[in-house]
Amino acid sequence: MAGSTGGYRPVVAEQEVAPVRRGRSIRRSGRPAERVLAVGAALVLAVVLTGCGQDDAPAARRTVHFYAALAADDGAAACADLAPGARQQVEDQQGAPCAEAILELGLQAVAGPVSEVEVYGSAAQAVVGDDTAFLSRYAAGWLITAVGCTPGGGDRPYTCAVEVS
Amino acid sequence: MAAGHDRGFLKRNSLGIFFGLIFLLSLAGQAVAGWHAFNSEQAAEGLGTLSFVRYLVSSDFAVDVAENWQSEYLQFLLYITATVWFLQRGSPESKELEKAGLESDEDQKVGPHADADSPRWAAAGGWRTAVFSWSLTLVMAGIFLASWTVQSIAGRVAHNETRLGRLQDPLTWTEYVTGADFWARTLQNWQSEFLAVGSMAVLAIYLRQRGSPESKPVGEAHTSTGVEG
Repeated sequence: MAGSTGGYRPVVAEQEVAPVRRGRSIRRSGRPAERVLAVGAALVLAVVLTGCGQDDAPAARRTVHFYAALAADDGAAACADLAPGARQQVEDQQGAPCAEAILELGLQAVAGPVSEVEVYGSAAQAVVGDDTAFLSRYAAGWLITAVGCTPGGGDRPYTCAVEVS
Repeated sequence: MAAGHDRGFLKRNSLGIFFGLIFLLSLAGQAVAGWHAFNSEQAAEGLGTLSFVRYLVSSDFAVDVAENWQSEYLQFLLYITATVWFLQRGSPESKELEKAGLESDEDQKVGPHADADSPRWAAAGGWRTAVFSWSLTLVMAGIFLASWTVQSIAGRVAHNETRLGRLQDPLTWTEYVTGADFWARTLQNWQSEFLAVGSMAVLAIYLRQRGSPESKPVGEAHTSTGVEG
């Protein structure tokens, strides 16, 4: 739920994977059954930590950058934050290059902080003002797959002005 | 001499080594196939794909592994404990019909009835003998509960990843473990495990596998209970 603040600035290359600290190998001790249990416990712990440890800052930064670009009327910068499929949908919808079309969609242009962000695996949801955006992690980092979203009510999907087609 | 010694070790431990190897091969195969399946679905929806290493530490892989582990350990946990009290006439998986229950200390060689070769905690008496008497069940139950917990945590992350891809709000852990995805994953595994052990106990009344300790000897009567080949 960590929020992220920041103004309009270029998104720098994201270091999303913590460096692996290299050290001495774990000393083997105990009887075989104890070693098996120890390895099992370590695996369970690793999996639990994998499920819990989600870094939400890069997705939040991407979202903040997108809305700040809109606020600055910088359509090219905003489009660079969109996933390829979302960029395509903007162009198809407006019949114009993304950098022009994105500014014509009437999207909220608030250079404010992300009030809420949740990351699950390679997907994220971020809230800025009254608007909700969805993101996916690509090889190049987090990109916005849907934006200008309002809740569909109940368990129905959000309705979005732009979404990956 | 060393080679002969090694061959002796391999032969004496071939059951554990065989299953250890096919476990590792199957896990590796699951990882590769699961990675391709995950990326195929992501690409079809225009979403980002994962490297193989990222997939190995992903919740999607973890939940697929954990949901099978928990059900397998539950299966053997129940089988170990149910066969203390429940009987199946004619089955080599059952005890003899008059032996239902925890049996006497003499039968179980505990406390003063322990042999010279008995494990130390079987002879020790008190809490150590009590713990050792249930140690197999305790460890199997521990692994089952740990795997099921991991399934709930990793499953929630994987399910929420799918929900966000469908532009739906994520679920809390409580919502997830009381919801359909968690129980569908859990029960689809449980039903198959219970069917497999139950059918093996009953089929082994009438069918045989020559040489297997899980079967009665080929010529043993269908009515003989608790006899292993």
